[in-house]
Amino acid sequence: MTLVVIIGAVFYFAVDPATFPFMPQCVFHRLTGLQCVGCGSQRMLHALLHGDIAGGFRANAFVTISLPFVAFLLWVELNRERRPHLYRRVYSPVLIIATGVAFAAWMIVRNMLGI
Amino acid sequence: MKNIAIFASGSGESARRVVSLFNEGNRIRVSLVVTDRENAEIIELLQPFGIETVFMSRERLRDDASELLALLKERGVELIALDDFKGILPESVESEYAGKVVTLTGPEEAPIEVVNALERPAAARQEINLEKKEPKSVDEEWAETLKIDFDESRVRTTPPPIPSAQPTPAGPTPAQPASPQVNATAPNGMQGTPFNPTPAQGESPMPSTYMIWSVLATVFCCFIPGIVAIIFSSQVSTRYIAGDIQGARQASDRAQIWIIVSFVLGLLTSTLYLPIMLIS
Repeated sequence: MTLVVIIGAVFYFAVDPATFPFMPQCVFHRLTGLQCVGCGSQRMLHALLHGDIAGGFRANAFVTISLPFVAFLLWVELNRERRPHLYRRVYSPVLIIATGVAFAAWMIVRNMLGI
Repeated sequence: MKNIAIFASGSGESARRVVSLFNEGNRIRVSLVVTDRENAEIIELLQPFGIETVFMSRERLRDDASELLALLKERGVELIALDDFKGILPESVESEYAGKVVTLTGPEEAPIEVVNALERPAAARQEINLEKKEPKSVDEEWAETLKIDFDESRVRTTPPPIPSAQPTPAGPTPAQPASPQVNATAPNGMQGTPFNPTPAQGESPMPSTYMIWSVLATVFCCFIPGIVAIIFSSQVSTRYIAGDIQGARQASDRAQIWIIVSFVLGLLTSTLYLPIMLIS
């Protein structure tokens, strides 16, 4: 698992998705022209790995902003057995549903605003 | 820590109830279960709790009692609870545990009986005075059946406080003995105890919602199955809080499946488009 992450990190650091011809592409975008929740995330990763937060923000604002939060959620998940109380409080229905709603909202907004 | 042993023949519902309530706490623990039925359901029921379960046939119980007694002593068993036990306690065990044998009458009452039996001072747990031939009240009759000394002054009209066996999800819980529990309309007259509407949470920790993976799958892979996975992740949480552990586990499994679907689809669509494009 960590190996995958490391490989991914190296890849996105080295390769510039804007110019590299063999990047994985979003089928949804190609078919409909609309942007999904994660569109631009590859460029975002490349920018962030080079320390360019503004560039990351331009590529995919929502994901860039929520990255620290995602890191926290990941930590809670990995500590599920050791801290079940915390796990239960963090992963409450409210949070999960709010996330789903946020995703949907972001997708609508970005297609309306063209970002 | 008081250790108890449960002898069961049947399905073990009472036993399971006792185990799930006490083994989460640190005052009473079921350290041994003995059954005289080879494939008793109780073995399966108690497996998730990791309790030592011993099968002893009726013949072995009769002939090899010393082994059982040694095992009981080794586990530090202080009380024996019989849950629909159809076998016969060997005589050596019975005499060793005189006055410390309780019969569990049903899943809901079982824990009270255990606590009652354990909290009576040792001095009271003697053989019943044989001169009292005519049991005068229902309490006395029960005392005789349970082989506990009957002391009228100790008869309670309200249920005893039960040691808190639930992990507290948020903040300190008010000490259980302090919570008033008499409610005339409740079936067993108890409230604010482990029998409250959400006892199931105390039994097992929340199954993983896989929320974080649902999120990552939605963002980086295919968002359509990803959203489905998020829905199931939320279901894990809502169902667990409602006390439906089975349903929560189900939702957890389904979330997992959809995460994998999302990942695979994302992988396929993003990498296969190139060869397909080249071909066409």
